[in-house]
Amino acid sequence: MACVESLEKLSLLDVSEPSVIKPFIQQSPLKETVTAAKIDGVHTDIVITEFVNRIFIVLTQRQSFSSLLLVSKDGPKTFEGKAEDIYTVKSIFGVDSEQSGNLVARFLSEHTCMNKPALFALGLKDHSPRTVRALRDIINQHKSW
Amino acid sequence: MEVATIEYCEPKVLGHGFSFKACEQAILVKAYKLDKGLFLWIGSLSQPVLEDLALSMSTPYGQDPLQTKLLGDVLNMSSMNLGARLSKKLDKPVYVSFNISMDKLSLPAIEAGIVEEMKKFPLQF
Repeated sequence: MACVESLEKLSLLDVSEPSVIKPFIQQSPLKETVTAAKIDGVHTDIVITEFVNRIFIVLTQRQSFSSLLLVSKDGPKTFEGKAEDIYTVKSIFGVDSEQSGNLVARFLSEHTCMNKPALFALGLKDHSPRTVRALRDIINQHKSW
Repeated sequence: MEVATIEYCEPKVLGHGFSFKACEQAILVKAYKLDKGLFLWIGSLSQPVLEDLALSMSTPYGQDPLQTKLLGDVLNMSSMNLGARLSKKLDKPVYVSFNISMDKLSLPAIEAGIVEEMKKFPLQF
C-alpha cells in the first residue's frame, strides 16, 4: 500500500507528464492585429501586438525579418516647460549601417503616437516615403493605443 | 504628401494563440508564422510583457543551430535553449521571447504544453 502511495506522489512530481498541462481557456489580454495590404502592389504583412511594457510591430514584404529595432521616447523637461520628445532607435539585429530602417521606425513611432517603447521587426523592400506614409495610415487605422 | 495605394488582402503571416496552466501558472503563448521564420512569445496571462528575445537558426556549417540573445538578461538561457530545439525541428529561424520567471519544475511543463499544441496544429508553426 505504502509503495502505491509513493508511486502516486512520484507521478505528481513528474512534470513532463501531459496530465499536468491543463488547457486553460481565457480571453487573451493582448490586443493584436494581423493584417496585410498591397502597398503600391507589393504584398505587406502587418502585425501589431500591444504588450504591457512594449508594442511589437511586424512590417514585412519578404516573409522574414531583416532587422529588429527598439524605439524609445523621452520627454525632457526644461525650465520653460516640456521640450520636444527625443526618440532613440537601437538596432538589435540586422545591418546596423542601413539607416533606412531606423528612419522608418523613428517616423512611425512619432506619427502613430506610440505611448510606450516599441520593437519593430522590419522586412521591407521599399523604404520610400510613399510606402512609409501608407504604413503609418494602416497602423493608425488598426492601433489599440 | 503622396501616399502609396493601399489595398487590403489576406495576410500570409499566420497568428496563433493559446493558453494553458502549467504548475499552477497561467501561460499564454503567441506564435506568428512566416514563410521564412517563426516568432514565438511565451508569457504570463496576468502580466503579458515583452522583455526577452533570442534568435536561433540552423546553418549548413554545423549540427547545432546558432543562437543569439537579442533582448533581456543574457544569463537567462530559456529562450535560446527552446529556440535552438525548435529551429532544428522546423528548419527555419525561430525568434523566442520567454517572459516567465520559472523554476526547474515549470520549464519542462511549459515546453511540453507548447509541443502538445504544435502536434495538434502543426500548420500554425
